[in-house]
Amino acid sequence: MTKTPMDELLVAYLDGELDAARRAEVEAAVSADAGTAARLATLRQSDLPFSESFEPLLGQAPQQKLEAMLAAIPSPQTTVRPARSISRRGLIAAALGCLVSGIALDRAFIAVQNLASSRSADEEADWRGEVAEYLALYTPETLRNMTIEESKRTAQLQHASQRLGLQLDPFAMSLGGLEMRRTQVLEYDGKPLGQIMYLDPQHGPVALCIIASTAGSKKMRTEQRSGLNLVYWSSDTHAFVMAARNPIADLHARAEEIRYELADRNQV
Amino acid sequence: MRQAVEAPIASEQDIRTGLSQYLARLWRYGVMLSHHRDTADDLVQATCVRALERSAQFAAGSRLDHWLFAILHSIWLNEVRARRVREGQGFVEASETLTFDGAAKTETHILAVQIMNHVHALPEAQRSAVFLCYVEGLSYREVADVLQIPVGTVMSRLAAARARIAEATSEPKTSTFPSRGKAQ
Repeated sequence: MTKTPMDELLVAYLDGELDAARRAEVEAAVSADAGTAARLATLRQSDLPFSESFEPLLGQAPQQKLEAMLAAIPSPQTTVRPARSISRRGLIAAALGCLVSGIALDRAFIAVQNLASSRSADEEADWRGEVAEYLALYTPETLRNMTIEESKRTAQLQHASQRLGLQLDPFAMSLGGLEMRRTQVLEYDGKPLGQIMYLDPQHGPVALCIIASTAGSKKMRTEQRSGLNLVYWSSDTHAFVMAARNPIADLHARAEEIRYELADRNQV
Repeated sequence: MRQAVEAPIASEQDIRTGLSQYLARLWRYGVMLSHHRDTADDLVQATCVRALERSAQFAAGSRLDHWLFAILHSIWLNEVRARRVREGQGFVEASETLTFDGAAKTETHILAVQIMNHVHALPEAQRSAVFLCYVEGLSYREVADVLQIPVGTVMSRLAAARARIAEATSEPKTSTFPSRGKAQ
């Protein structure tokens, strides 16, 4: 049987959502027409203990982790915390210096590389955009509160290696001193997408995303998307994106390192 | 001298306190929408950040939990669901979502898993209406407000969902549902 407009009234009747007049109408229809009465009986079968059934799911919520996450969200109102240090002025100057030179360096880096690239329509720009947007949702807290035991993380890496057809374990367990926090196999347009997350204590999450791609080997390039710095490249078999808030030069160095490792361990 | 009149606006601290009470319920709704625990974690986090940013927009005296459901739902709809990058490999059965501890295969649990599976199998639009109405106990009007749809649409989604669930439950093997209330 399929849904009829009458169903809406009958269901609203069962849910006690009708006013007295509509209620009376439904009751009259039910007593006058056997078909309507039968339909009401059928729909009544979906009166199930929904609330009780979903109760155990509440107990499954990672309560402590969620509380820690909430506590870690800074108040949007208090933007700057006063540094209590004696050499406050010095600190601020140093911080500004880092920021400015960091930005200048990033810009220079990107400018040089973009000049070099022929700016051809890049069919892989799409997936980088999607990946960056997705990653931009991550905050340091997402990973900081994530403590997965080492054996499980190793297993995650092995699983990803298998799905992607690329040897990742165990060397991807760390990235230049950053410990791997979680590896997942996500999905991109139905293809497995490996996402290996590291946490940089200074800059937050660092993600290495890998997808099978036969578009051909491409050298390393950089760009910015969704407020993240990206380094991307591809081998004959896979495309790679590393994304983070780390300065481009730092990210580039890390990417070089892992590219070397990957090439070394995946020689055909 | 006149006292400054306190505006009927919830403080950020009120929202924070309220949030801490509703974390598990928000997470459950996140699991319902996404079928994934990790995505639910992320949804709750994004909801907390957004709610704190917008604490001034919350009308004191109205239901904070409903406001939070609405925020989570819009983040899901506009920022997470549409992505082509998805967590995991698609559909997760309720029995997987709900991992019972040890000797837990009692009738109550089997029934709970069956009911969750029925709800999980619904199309997303129906699923969220059913969840908010029958699990969270919102009225049609409240569901409409959370989902930002007309009441008539809530009615037709619930009717479609109920028809589907009724059909599924009347299939031979699963006809042993006890009536409303806790089994046992």
